[in-house]
Amino acid sequence: MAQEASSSTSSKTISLKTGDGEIFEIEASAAKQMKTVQRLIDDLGDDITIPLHNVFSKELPKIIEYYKKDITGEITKDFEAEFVKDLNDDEVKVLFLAANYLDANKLFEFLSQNIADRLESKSVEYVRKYFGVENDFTPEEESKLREERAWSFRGIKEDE
Amino acid sequence: MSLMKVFRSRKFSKSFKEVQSLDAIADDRRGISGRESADGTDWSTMLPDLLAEIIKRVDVAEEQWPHRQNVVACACVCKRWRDITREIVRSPSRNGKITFPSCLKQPGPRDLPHQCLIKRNKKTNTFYLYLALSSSFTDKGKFLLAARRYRCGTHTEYVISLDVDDLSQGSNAYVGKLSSDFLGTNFTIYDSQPPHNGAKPSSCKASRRFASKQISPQVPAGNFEAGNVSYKFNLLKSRGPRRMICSLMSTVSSSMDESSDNKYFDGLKMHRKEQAASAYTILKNKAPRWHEHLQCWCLNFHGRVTVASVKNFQLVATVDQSQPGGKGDEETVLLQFGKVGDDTFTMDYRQPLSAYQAFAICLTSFGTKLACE
Repeated sequence: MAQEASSSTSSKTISLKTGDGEIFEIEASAAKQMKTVQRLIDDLGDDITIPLHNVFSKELPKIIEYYKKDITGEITKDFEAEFVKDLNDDEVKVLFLAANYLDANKLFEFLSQNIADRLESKSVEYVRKYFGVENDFTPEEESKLREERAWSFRGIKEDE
Repeated sequence: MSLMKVFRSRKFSKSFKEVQSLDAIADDRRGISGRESADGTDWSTMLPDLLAEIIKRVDVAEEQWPHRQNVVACACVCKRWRDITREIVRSPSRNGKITFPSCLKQPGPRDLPHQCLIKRNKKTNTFYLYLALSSSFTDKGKFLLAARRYRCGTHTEYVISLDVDDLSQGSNAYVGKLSSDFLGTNFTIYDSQPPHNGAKPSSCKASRRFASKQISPQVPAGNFEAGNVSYKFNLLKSRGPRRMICSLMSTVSSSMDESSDNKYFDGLKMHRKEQAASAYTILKNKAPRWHEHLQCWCLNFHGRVTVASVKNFQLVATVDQSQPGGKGDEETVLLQFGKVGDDTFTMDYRQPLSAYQAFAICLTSFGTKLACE
């Protein structure tokens, strides 16, 4: 357990209960980084197991891992690269939504960037599939969009 | 405090409600609409705020062309994505950045001008405008607009389009045209879109022909007068620079720092009452200085123009709605055009001019017949 000499909540752990009923421990100083959790602690006290209805046992450990590293000030580019390296697209999505729910800003920003990076140069169809959105353009709108996209591709290797 | 007491306390039940409400739409800037399953269905109901966080990052990462295609792709995913992407691209911090074709009719950057290239094809009477992606004059860059010159009886027309292969007025890619008198001293710039609310399409024969070919009837058909360029020659000296005056209809209000840069294009959606129905930007060309030693007229083009030509010019504003009091400062060069090769020209433009206006004005320089060489 990390010792935080300057923190008033040093060596205190908080119990978090996931939506699927599993309990995880987290240092109080790490919990502070997740505003939703902190709000619940403020209301319920830090002796209670904090219920997190929308976070599940699959992703919470990963989030805890991130903030464990964060409170020791050791988050580096290498750590972040390693953190997402083996995550597939679905796992990143789930973490992103969880980070949002927990109001865990640093993790949220990092994952937003990671998702933006994963979308780079992907087709419109891929993006639709990834986000599960339907194409709701009319055929007329679609044809205008096709022209817009044709324009956006134009110009670099043209020989006019 | 015993657990039972905690459960019964109002404080807890308030918090419990809060926990429940966290499952619903959040009360702060972020939120999700509840998560029913671990699969992808929750994404599609994701609040715009969350989506915007991701799209904003795509926008920042893909600042330059050709990567900017990815931002255009985001706007093609679905209607929600399109709205969010266009909102992000429209924000003042994006400052004249070209992303969508509609950006070509929005004011250019405030500080450093956009550097563009115009290539001329004499055989086909076609002109191509590119956004330069490097400082070289031979790399072309991002295609923006094309124009083709047609002679129509006693006057000449330049049809301007987004589509290199379709330079007709009836096409969906048609953006406007330039029309000149016989001598090439007076030019009218037309826009396929109304520059402001209440603008009426011109009733010339050409626009009636155009109207019948309109594919999407929702857009008002026709050509709307959007500006004028006239040339006056220096009668006292047979050689020497000609004088140019441009007046452009502008819908730029005096507070350019609002996210109002789509006004010119989306004139129909204008909601600012104080917007003048037809405020003008008036430009004139900067007078070159006679260089006694070199025996020529000189303008400082800062290396962006390398071949002497009467076509070269720099325009400054006398009336500029984007400046306080509408007064142009007559020093800042808002549009610069000049030759760098046989058929290659540079065009540098900035706010309040749009790429479309700048291109149309530069085309007039090709059109003047009474050029003094």
